[in-house]
Amino acid sequence: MTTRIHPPDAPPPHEPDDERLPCGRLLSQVWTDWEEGVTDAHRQRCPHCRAAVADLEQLETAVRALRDGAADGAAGADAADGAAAGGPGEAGAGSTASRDADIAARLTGRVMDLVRRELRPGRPLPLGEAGEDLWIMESVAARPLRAAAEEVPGVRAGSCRIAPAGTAGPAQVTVAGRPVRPTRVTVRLEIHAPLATPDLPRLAERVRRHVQAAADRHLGLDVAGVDILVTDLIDEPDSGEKGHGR
Amino acid sequence: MTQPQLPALTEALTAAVRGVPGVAFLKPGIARSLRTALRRADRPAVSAGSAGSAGSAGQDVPDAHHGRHTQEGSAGPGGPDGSHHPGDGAPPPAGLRISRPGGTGPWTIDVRIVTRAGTRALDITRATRGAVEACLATHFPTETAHITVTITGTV
Repeated sequence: MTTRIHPPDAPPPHEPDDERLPCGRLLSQVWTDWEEGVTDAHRQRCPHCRAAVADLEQLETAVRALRDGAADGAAGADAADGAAAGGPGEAGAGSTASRDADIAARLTGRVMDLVRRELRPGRPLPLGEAGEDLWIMESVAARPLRAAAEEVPGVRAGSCRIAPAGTAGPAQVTVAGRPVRPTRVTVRLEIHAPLATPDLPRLAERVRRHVQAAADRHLGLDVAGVDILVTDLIDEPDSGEKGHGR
Repeated sequence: MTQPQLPALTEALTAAVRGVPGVAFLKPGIARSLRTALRRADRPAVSAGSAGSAGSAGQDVPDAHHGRHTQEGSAGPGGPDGSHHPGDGAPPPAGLRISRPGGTGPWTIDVRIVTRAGTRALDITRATRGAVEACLATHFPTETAHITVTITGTV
């Protein structure tokens, strides 16, 4: 029997950093300024800032429509239930309410999944050479790297954070008015290792090689380094099974 | 590039990007994605990409990819991806943004794509940029543009 400290589907605990747009501005600050009606010359011209505001405006419109539609639907369901109450239709009213609650729960789940994907995709990561302006969102890049780690038998991948290497803030060097972005990234991956692992550093190195190979093969990311953090030791599944790769 | 030509360029670029091998579709706007979520609310969530799929828009593929239904809500009239015609009030497609800061100088073209699993991100983004450059060279050979390509999901 496998003993796990964390349930199989528990999300890895981590606090995502505030996303920074390619122009150097924090996404949260751009949204705050929009909500408060604060504007400046940069935000009016910057395509990244304007795109961020457009996304938020669309979200607000969609959520408002969703809320209004849900209110109308609830009013209609209440009216139908009220008409059916007190007679043979009571059972029907209960099943209608139950079905509506089920639909509402699924809708809420879908909307929240969508909002999480839209609002918290992580930071954009550089692809290619400095002047190419090619990017991939962190959440997209993390998936093949986590899968690669789980190719090592017994390893379960947790949080995978990827960041441009060597930057603590917006790039200061510019070429033709555009910031020269870093081209390399660093990966920080948390894993659960098998309890019986005799040599954890060797296991971590093996995971590191898998991750670096995947970064090149699946993404074309230029990885400056891979930090592996063993956050837990778990009972290994039956011998011969691979890790819990997806 | 004059305003009346922008709709044609938008449509041409949309087609060019969609034709890149490995590109599933242009990133759908959140409004379109929410409408998809609303339409599927009466069915259990069944999607290969739904578990831990931050960044994947897999479950939105059919409507976002085909997009050939009547525009709704804020999308307004437009092309297959809700393409934008300046002056008619319709929002631009979320995955393709064309602008010219200050009204002069090079254009800025921001392309956001969802790619197919099994493709190499760097290769796809380079191919996408190449397709956009080729499209510009065909339609507007005298114009210059700075092109940004971002992968926002995989399916």
